[in-house]
Amino acid sequence: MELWSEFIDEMLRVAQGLRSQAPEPDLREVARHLHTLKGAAGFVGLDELVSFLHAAEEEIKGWKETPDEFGHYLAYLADLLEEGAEQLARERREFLGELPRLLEDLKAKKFSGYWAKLGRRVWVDADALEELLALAGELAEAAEGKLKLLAENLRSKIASLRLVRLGRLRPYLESALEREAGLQGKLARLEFRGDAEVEREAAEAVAEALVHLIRNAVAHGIEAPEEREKLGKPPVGTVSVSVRAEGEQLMIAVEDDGRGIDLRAVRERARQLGLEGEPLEVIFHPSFSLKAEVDLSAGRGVGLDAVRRAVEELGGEVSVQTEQGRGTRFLLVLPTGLSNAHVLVFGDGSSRIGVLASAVSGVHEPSEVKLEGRWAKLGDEVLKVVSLFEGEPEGFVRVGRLLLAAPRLYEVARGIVRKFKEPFRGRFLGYLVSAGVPVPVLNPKWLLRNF
Amino acid sequence: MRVRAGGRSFAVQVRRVLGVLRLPPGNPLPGAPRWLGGLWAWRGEALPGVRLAELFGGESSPQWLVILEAEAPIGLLVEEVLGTAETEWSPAEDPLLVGISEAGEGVIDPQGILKVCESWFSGRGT
Repeated sequence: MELWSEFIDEMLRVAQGLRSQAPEPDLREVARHLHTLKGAAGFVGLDELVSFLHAAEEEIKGWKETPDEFGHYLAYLADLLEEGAEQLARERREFLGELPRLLEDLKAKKFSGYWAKLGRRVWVDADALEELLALAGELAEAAEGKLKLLAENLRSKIASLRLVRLGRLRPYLESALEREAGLQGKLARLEFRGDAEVEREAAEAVAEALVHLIRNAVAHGIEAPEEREKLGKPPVGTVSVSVRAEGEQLMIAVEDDGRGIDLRAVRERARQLGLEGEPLEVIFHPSFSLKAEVDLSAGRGVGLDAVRRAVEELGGEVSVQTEQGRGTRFLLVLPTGLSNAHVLVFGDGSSRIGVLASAVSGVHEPSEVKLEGRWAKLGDEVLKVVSLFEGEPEGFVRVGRLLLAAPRLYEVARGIVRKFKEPFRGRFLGYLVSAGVPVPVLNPKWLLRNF
Repeated sequence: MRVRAGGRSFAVQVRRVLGVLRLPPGNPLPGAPRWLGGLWAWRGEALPGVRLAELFGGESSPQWLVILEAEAPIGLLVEEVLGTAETEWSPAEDPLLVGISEAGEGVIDPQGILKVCESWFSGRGT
């Protein structure tokens, strides 16, 4: 699977390269792009694509000059490859069917008409898409019977339009890494593995967090080339970003092969700043980061509080592992799209609240739970009881080390968790409209921090 | 626009009023302070509704939802809408008010109302 996602990335890169050639094609450049993709396609065994690319490359190499309207053809080919990348990501391959005709036209230098095929992709304002999605959601909510099914279908189609593949961040992350390495006089390369689809808004927050972590890895993790050689490490350091979707969770690891975090130095600095806690916790503290920014040599922490904030706003969490001399690994765990989330709705007779099903590790009958004041025994574990509602619990919803008392368990709703307007974020991840009223969805991170 | 809540009357600037509705069903928020009435669906968004009387230490049974323009729309839950009148106002100390009208009524500052909601929703306030 990893092989495929790398290939898909390659395909998108080549598409981009071809598109950049479209206004004024340089035949040698075009042939080079096709050649690159041919190699990669051979590797994953996409024979139809290999034979198309091979024939096209040979054909173009034979040309003395650029035929009229060839640019339109290239732009169309770029469109098709991008479309193909999307299809492959969904294990579909319809785009291959267009290749024989494309080859025929190439050989006949028949490029008139390709301009008319362009623009099958349109750019849509992201906010308009959000509105459309909200409307479709309301429609689905209000409709019944067959109309409801159609509206649900419409809603999920629109929701899928809002998804972005994280693999597309790669060039952006690469340039952030190169810039930082240049600034620091270090040598480093980026490895990007895996891929996943997330909502646009989440992708932006993830991108911001990754840039912070990558720059941090280069600035404080990766050693200078001479030092690395002395240590018997390759002079070029590696920062690897790996992305993996697992159920309704997205795991992103950012790992470097640098010097690791000096826990003693962090402890010392934390003491000076009057901060308490484990060193690997303290590095995320806003004032620790601030101080470290002033004095770069001290430790590691530039912007780590920003990383944590960005991740927690999405309802995720960050953890870190480090080994002195070997490197550091940050792990971000995020809920994948809130566009099609399962939400457990509970409450009392008048009020309803939700929690993401992916954050719930179990729902327990009162008979399973032995209450002792604000604590409860569940099997061998002692958990803290959170009573947001009054009344006899019908069940207990477990989130991490907490048991949320639920006087009424309503349903597991499936739908879009929409974000609150900016001023109203923090306590909740968003809300889900159910039975005509907004049901707020608790941010598990907030819960765990405040109870 | 003059409104009544908990035996007191207040004023809001008409140009800050986005809508006035007979109180539709809303969703009360668990653990929220008494003045925070809950969430309402309005134009596809979740609108927090604030009980005006309770915010000023009173008590009320609201019948109307007045939607005000602030950084994000915010709802005001009141018992009665009394109509409009023209008035000048003098400055007030209260961060929830833009001033005091000639009739001695507090003129609500929608952004001030939003700010108190913000502190609860952000999870930093109580």
